[in-house]
Order: sequence, then C-alpha cells, then structure tokens
Amino acid sequence: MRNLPSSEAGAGPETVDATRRTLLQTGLFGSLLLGAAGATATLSGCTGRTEATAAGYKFLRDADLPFLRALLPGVLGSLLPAAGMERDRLLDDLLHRIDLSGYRLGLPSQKALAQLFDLLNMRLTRRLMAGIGPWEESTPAQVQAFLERWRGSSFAVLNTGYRALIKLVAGSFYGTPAGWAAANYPGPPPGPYQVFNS
Amino acid sequence: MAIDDIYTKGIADGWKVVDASTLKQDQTYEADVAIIGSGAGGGTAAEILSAAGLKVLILEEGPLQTAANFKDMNDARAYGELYQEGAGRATSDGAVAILQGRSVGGTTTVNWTSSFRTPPQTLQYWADTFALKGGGEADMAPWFAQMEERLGISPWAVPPNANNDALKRGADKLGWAAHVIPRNVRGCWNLGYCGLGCPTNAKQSMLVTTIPSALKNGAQLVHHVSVRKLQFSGGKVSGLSAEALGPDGVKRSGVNITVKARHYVLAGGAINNPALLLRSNAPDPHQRIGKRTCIHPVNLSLAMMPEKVEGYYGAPQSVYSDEYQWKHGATGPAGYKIEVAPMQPLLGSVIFGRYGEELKTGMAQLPNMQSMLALLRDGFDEQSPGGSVEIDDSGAPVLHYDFSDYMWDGFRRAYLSMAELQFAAGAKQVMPLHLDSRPYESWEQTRTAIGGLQYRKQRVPVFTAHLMGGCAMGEDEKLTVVDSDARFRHADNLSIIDGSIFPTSIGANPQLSIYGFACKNATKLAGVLKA
Repeated sequence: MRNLPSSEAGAGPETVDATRRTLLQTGLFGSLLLGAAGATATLSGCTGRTEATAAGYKFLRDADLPFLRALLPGVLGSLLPAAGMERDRLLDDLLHRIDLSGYRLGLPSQKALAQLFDLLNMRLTRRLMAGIGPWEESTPAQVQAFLERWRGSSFAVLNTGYRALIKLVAGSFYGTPAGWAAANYPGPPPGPYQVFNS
Repeated sequence: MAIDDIYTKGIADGWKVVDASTLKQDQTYEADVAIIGSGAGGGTAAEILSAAGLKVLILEEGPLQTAANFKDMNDARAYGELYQEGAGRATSDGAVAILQGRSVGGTTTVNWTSSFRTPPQTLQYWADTFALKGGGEADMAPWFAQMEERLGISPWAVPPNANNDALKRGADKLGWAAHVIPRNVRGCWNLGYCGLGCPTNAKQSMLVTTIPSALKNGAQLVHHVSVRKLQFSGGKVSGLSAEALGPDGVKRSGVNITVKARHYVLAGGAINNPALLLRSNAPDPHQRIGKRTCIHPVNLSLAMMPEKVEGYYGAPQSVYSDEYQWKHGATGPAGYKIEVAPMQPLLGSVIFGRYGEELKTGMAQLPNMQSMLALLRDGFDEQSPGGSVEIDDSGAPVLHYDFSDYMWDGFRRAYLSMAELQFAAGAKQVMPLHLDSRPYESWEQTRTAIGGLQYRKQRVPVFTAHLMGGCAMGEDEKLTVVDSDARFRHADNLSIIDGSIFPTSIGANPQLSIYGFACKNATKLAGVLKA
C-alpha cells in the first residue's frame, strides 16, 4: 500500500484504508464523503488501489493520473496548446508539478488530498459526487460542469475540493513559462536578472 | 556580477554550519542554549545569546538557501522550497491558506518587509487582559528602537509602485488615513521579489543579519533537522530528540540527532511550537498550549486599472491604511489594516481562484491588476478567540480555525472598504474575491453585490501569512503558557521566543513585534544565564 511520504514522526507505512479510517476520526473531508467512500469500498469489494506511487512520481499513484489528465484541460481550457508535442510536454510538466506539491504537504493535508483523489477515482463516488463518467472518456466541458457544481454547492466540503483542485492546477500552470506568457508577465526585470546570472 | 551569498565565504572562514541531510551517523550536540527555529525570534535570540559569550546551537528544519538560490527570481521554486509544506499549508478544513516560511531565516527570508512596532492599543490590551508586565509602550520603545537600528528599518523613501500608489491615491481622495510603510532593507533595488527570497541581500532578514553574526560569534547552525520531542523531567527539559531530513527536505534520512543544552529556546512559530510541546507531553495544567492562535485572516479585492500596474515589480508593500483599524479602540467590531499584495503570476492565480475562460481572460490582464488585502485583527473580542493547534496521530500539527458572525461582518466591511478605495483610485472594474463574485463596473454595483454575498467558510477565500499565539505570555497563569519574560511556566530552562507568545494578533504585520520582544527577552535571558 502507498507509503505517504512525510517528515512527521510516527508516520509509518499508511494504507489508503488506514487513511480513510483516520479521516473518519478527524473528519477532514466530512462524514458525507466518507460515508460514500466507505459504502463504495464495501459494495465493490474494493479495499484499495495500486500500492505504489506511479513510476516517475513521488506522491501520485497510477489511478490518480487519468483523473488529473482530465482535470487539467477542464481547469485550463484554451490555455493549453492544441494537441501535439508541446501540449504533451506541458501536461507532463504540470503533472510533475502537482505531484511535487502533494509530496511537500504535511501528512494531514496529504491524507486529505489522497482521499479527494480516491473519491474522484472510485466509480460510485465519482458518479455520486462528481456526476461524471470515467475520466478517460470525459470532455473538458463535462469536467467544467463538475467544477461548477462543486463551486456552487452548498456543501462546504465540495467547495473545499473545488478550491483545492483549482489551486493545484492554476498554481502549477502559472509557475511555468507558458503560464507567465498567458499572464502577460514579462518575467523578472531583465537588467538585474542579467546582473545576478551572468 | 554574482551577488555575495555570505555563507560560502563564511563557511570557508570556519563558520560551523551543518547540513544534516549529509550526516551518515547519529549525532549528539551540546550547547549552552539550543534554539529551535531560525526566524525572527530564533535569529534575534541567537545573535544576542552568542554575543553574550554563550555557546549557541540553532536547529532549522528547512534548507539553507541564499542569494545564490534567489537569483532566478522564480516563484515556483521559491514557494515550493522556502515555505511550509511547499506553500500548501492550510487550516484543518482547508478554508484558510497559510503562507509561512521554512528555511534558514524562517519567514523573514520570504516576507514582504513591512515593519511596524506593536500598536500601543494592542500592548495595553495585553496588560489589561493577560496581566503582561514590562510590555507597555514605553517599556518596549527602546527594544524596538534597537532592532530598527539593527535591521535598517525606516519608512520607504522611494515612491511607491503603482500597486501601492493606488491605495494612497484612493485614500487621499476619500480623506482616509494612509501612511508609508517602514521596511527592513539596506540598499534595496526596489525589484519586488521579497516573497521569493531577496536576490541582493538588501532585505535585512535573519538570513543575512543576525544568523551570520551569531555564526561569527561561534554559534553552530544545523539545518535539515526536524525536532521531534523535548524530554521533560524534574521540572526541566533534559534533552531533545530530532531527526535529520534528506536533501529534499521532506523525507527523514534515518539519522537521529540528540541535543543536550543548559537552556532551550522554542522559535518554530505559532504552529510548530505548540505541536512540539504537545508531542512532548509538556506540562499544561490549564490546557493553554495551542490555544488562541491568531492569524490576521486576510480577504482580498482585485481591481482592473486603466493603466498598467505591474504589481509584480517594485517594493511589494509600501503604503497602508489604518482607517478602519482602531475606530472603536482595541475592541468593538473587528478592525482591519489595508495593504496590497504583490502580483507575480503564481500567487496571482492562486488568489484569483478561477478556471477555464474566466481564469484565462482574468489572468491575461495581470499587468493592469491592482490587488488590495485586508488583515483582520483577531483575538480582541469574545467572538474572536482565535483558533487552536492540535496534533494528529502522527504528531503532525493541525490548525483549527472558525469564524463567527463577528468576523464575517469584518470581512464584509473590509470588502466594502477595499472596493471603495479601488474605485476612488480610478478602477474600471472591481472584483471582491469570493466564490460567487464577478467583476463589477461601479462602486454602487459593487456595494450592492458585497451586501448580497454569502459569508461562509470556503465561499470567502481566506489567507494568512501571520501566525501568532498558541503559547500566550502574561502573568495570568490560567490564560498563558509563558510568563512576561517568555519563560515556560513548568520548566526552568525553557523559553519561547517568537510570535507564538502573542496573546492576540498584533493589528499590524508582526515581524518587528517579534524582533522587539525577542530582543527584550533574549537580553534578559542572557543576563540570567551569564549570572
């Protein structure tokens, strides 16, 4: 099972299920979502997902990647280049930036984020909470409709998920050269930059 | 022309600096004073105690990064490497995003340089409510003066950038108070990248002032080390145990570190200090550790200006307005300080908080965007008791923070003030940042919209960069964790010297408050330990 990377003491190997149990106690994502997640795990006989982080990643697991690959075009829309090498490279870069953001979180926030991804990855909770079919088959418009529902929801926990996802993606994108260009940000002042870096 | 990073030469000259990630075997260090944390409190204490001839050991969880790292002026690198949890720290329900430093120099390495003395109203409130002794305006004046001199703190003499000038212009037009912010800089290039680590060493952070000075005095600095527990026995701290982190500053390397010292100083900030004390089962008969955590909750308002603002360039904060800070004295409806936020694109996009075409078209206007922020003054009313720090099963800190109607009313009034200022400064559109807001064309339209917004967690995006409290000081032992000299009540050889001792928020950016109290308390401590 995935070992959540952390600098915190006593943070031994943690399974996703252990994470869920902890969250049942701490209630970070609320009993609403946890109830749904637990029900799904029970109904489907699913006790967990892939055990290790995805190859080349420090935090994300294989099961997270299809969701994030669908989320990125949903959040970024036409900020992404058209299909091609440039787009593929940028998406890959953004996935790794998101991965690093997750990796650097403290254990409590890592657990919450892992749980959010779990909910969005498991079939029943995905349909129930996000109202969307398999991520591999979703269109950016469908992803945006899901984001809009979570933004508008009167459940604060869904607003939390909305804000976390937007922050991960937008914060990653606007830290790249493509993001700087999209923000019409010229970059650090060229004179001093040259002075420091020559 | 490379900028001197100070440490390369210092280490070559014999400064004792250990990167714990390079250690292969368990280590024991001994010192007169072990200081946990190297920010505003720890750095100030290290200089004063080492100058008194004491053998000082500084332990820092984050990395040693210097001008040699900061020269790229890259926001993604800086937020990832210089902030707690890669700038992803948040309150337990995710409702408040927390920007807090985590490298040698602590938050002083990445703060925006605003330097205010603790307001007299706040000092008086502490004396009245928490029986703080020796912390009055006249008592503190010489300590503030000493640190202002030490760190080059004076009102910014250069014209403000356009982002700050909008605040001044709006305030002048409305007849509101607005003043120039004192900054801790010497020879500042006015670049605007303070939040990413100063590339010129102009910012007088602990990284380039007190810590080098302590190292010259023979202090030892160990970074990449996470302190896990203090051992309490017989009314004293008998030692501490720590773990080395790996080169990435996240994973533990497996090397254990033990420290034995005559005296211990906690300076890890308002989240990490209480967590360490709670992990250590520190004596706490009145259950005060981790209580009254105040954060100056921040909400924001963006304005589209007809002219370029380029809020990413120039001293990030140089003008403030206290028009609504002390209207009713220290108490009464929540007061707030109005300032601006620098607008490099990464932070800008996180503040903006939108997706799709709204994100694209909004962020494309970044050069014309003016950003206003309000720091709410929390902790001064029964309905604003602050939050609380607890630890989870693994010992990791968790900050809980709730907002009462009293605070929501403060956010609502702050939105109004910011929008009014922005239209007075000539904004074409103003967008109070809220999940349900959009850009509005006039002050009247915006005022109506602000009145109709929902004031609830998550719908109001809230930020904090000021973590205070959790180890309150004063003489009322039922309300406080340390006495008026910052000595822990239940162990003779433990002091807490940083922003965690403030019993409320400050009502101004807190760094100079931390320096002043650290200077006073470390000077007293040096006297005691040398006696």
